[in-house]
Amino acid sequence: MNLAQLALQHGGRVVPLMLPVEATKSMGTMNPSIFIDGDRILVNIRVLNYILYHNESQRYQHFYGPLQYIHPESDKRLRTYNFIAELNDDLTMKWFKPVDTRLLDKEPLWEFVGLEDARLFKIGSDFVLCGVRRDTTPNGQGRMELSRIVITDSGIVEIGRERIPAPEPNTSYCEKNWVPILDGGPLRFLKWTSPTEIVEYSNKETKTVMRHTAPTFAADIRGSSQVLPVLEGFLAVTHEVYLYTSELGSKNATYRHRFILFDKDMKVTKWSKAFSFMSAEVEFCAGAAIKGDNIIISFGFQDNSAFLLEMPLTLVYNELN
Amino acid sequence: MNLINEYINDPTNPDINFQLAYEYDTLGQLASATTHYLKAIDNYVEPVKVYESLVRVANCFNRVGDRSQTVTPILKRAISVAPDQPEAYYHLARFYEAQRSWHDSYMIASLGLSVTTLEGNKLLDYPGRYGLKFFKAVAAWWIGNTEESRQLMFELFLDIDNLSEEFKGYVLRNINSIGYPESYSAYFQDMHDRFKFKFEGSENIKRNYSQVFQDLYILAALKGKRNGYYLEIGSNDPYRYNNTALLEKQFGWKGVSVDLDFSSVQKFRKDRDNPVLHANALDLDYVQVLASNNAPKTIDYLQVDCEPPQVSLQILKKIPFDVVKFKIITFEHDYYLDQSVREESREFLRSKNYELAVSDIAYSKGRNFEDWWVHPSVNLASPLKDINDTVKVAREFMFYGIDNKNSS
Repeated sequence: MNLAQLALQHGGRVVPLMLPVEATKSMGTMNPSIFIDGDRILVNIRVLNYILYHNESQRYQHFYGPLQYIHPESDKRLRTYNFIAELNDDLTMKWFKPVDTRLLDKEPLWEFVGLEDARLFKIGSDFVLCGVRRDTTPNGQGRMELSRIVITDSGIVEIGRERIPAPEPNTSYCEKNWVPILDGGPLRFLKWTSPTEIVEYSNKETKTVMRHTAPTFAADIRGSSQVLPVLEGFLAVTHEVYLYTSELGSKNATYRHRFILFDKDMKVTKWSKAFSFMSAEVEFCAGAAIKGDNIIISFGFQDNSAFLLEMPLTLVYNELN
Repeated sequence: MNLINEYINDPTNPDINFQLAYEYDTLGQLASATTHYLKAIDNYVEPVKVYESLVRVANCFNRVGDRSQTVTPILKRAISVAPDQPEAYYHLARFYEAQRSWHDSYMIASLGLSVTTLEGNKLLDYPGRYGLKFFKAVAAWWIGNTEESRQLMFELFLDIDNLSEEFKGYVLRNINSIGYPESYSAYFQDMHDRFKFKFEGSENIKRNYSQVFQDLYILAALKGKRNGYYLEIGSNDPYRYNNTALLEKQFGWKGVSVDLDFSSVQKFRKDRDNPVLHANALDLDYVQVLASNNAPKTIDYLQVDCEPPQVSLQILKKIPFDVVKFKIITFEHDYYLDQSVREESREFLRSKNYELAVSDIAYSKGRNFEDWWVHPSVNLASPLKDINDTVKVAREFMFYGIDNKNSS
């Protein structure tokens, strides 16, 4: 299923989130995260120092394989920068600004640099970005990090940074795609969906607070959008990755997404079929927000472009079984 | 926006993907452009379409910069897909030039020039065949083929009105830096101040066409004569190295030309107004040729320039000097290559009462290849005469203070 096609057929729309090339240096923008704060529509956009070369047919592969991150040859690090934009009601861009991280930046120790796939939301009255950071250890260990930001007319500044440990024994190599549950309560994340694991972070400690066996409809369901409160409980967009290799052993991947409905205890009750957004193999949703009767989903397309998809919420429910 | 919706509704349509990619490309959104060019590649069947998308992908990465390991394999792949298309050769030659990989640039530009004769696609940022020629010229210089480089650059210079502004600038800078080819001496209007033999109308000549200023010499000797008449044996190209083009086009001369090479004759007939005969100059009856072309009894200029010089000498001996008079004669003896003809030609023309005006004219030192003659009835100004035993480099003979980069 191509979700954008379905949305267009039912009065929805797809809007590109395009930053000026002066800001991006013509590099990829990806994995945006939308968040609606009262009447303000905000979105975090991940900007890269590379372009993804992905030849889906594998007939015209890059020198190093069908799926390659083409970074500068003089800088082998894959760098992420975050930009916040405010949108008008019609989803056009009102303004955008880079997140200034200089106050807290340290010399990176690994090749993936910056806060990746950050979800935008609020804790109390503070805006935060929560994504994975892998540049603090020489082996690239990944942990979710909470980045507190201040949005002012003169700029956006990161003023606090907390590395979130995994639940004890906190020995895993990489934790990523924990998505916040936006219920206004203590800071909780949906860590996994199959089985469903909810963790709570407070006082620099992470505890698993719920674990449910989930129906088996896919091998490995992971978080994508924030978990949004709805009448029945919670709604989220999740993703699943199918990794494979080319005949010559180069990596390749297909990403698919689903809508999942949870009850108020975060037990999976309904789910949609896996879908793509716009018929590409590499797509990634990092945000969703409900606006009136519609849902707006923010997603990256082939790691090179960022989009918003707005569609009636009823259409989502029609897809849930 | 419409294109995005079109793509969503028909995601495997290669044309829509290409158009969308091109739109992104135009906006400088090169990452997004890359995505859709790659999707176009996946869905096109026609090799030339796949090729076009590959070239554009390579150009996206090239514009971003610092990604040579991506740019060059994609362009090579494009050449493999459609080797008869010129654009990928051009971009690869240009890319290698920027990398100072001169042998690679020279090889690719040479291949492109020899393999493809197609016009090329402007959508692929291809300026035209001259782009390949330019990068071959640049690379030729740096691999040590300096004379070839000068020759190629000079050919571009002669065609400068047909180059883009970008390439005009490149060619002018390069020609100023490396100089003209050894085999060519050119006149352009800005050299008029230094021209030794000014005549009425010389100030209006924008450029000449002869190899070593013969056209300017003829006009100087005849005081800027208008509406003269010539017999040109061995005309070759209608403009390049041609001694009569300036006479016809700017001074209103009539005349008749002869050449053996059919393609040159065809080109001459297309580009020039005066007639040219396609014939072996040895077989012609020149009395008849001149009569049938209503030539006057006194002809202002005779050129004899065929290959090899022994043939020129045989032709010279067929000219009916007893029934027609020539004011100026240029005879190519190619002395620097073959010493057997010059003395005999001089003896012959002296026997016909012609006077040597300039002996052993050359395009560079040691390359004396021609004598210029005058009929005694012509009142030739003394500076136009020089028959001492030295080789006369044309630029030095005709101009004051020309820096002769190729003469030493």
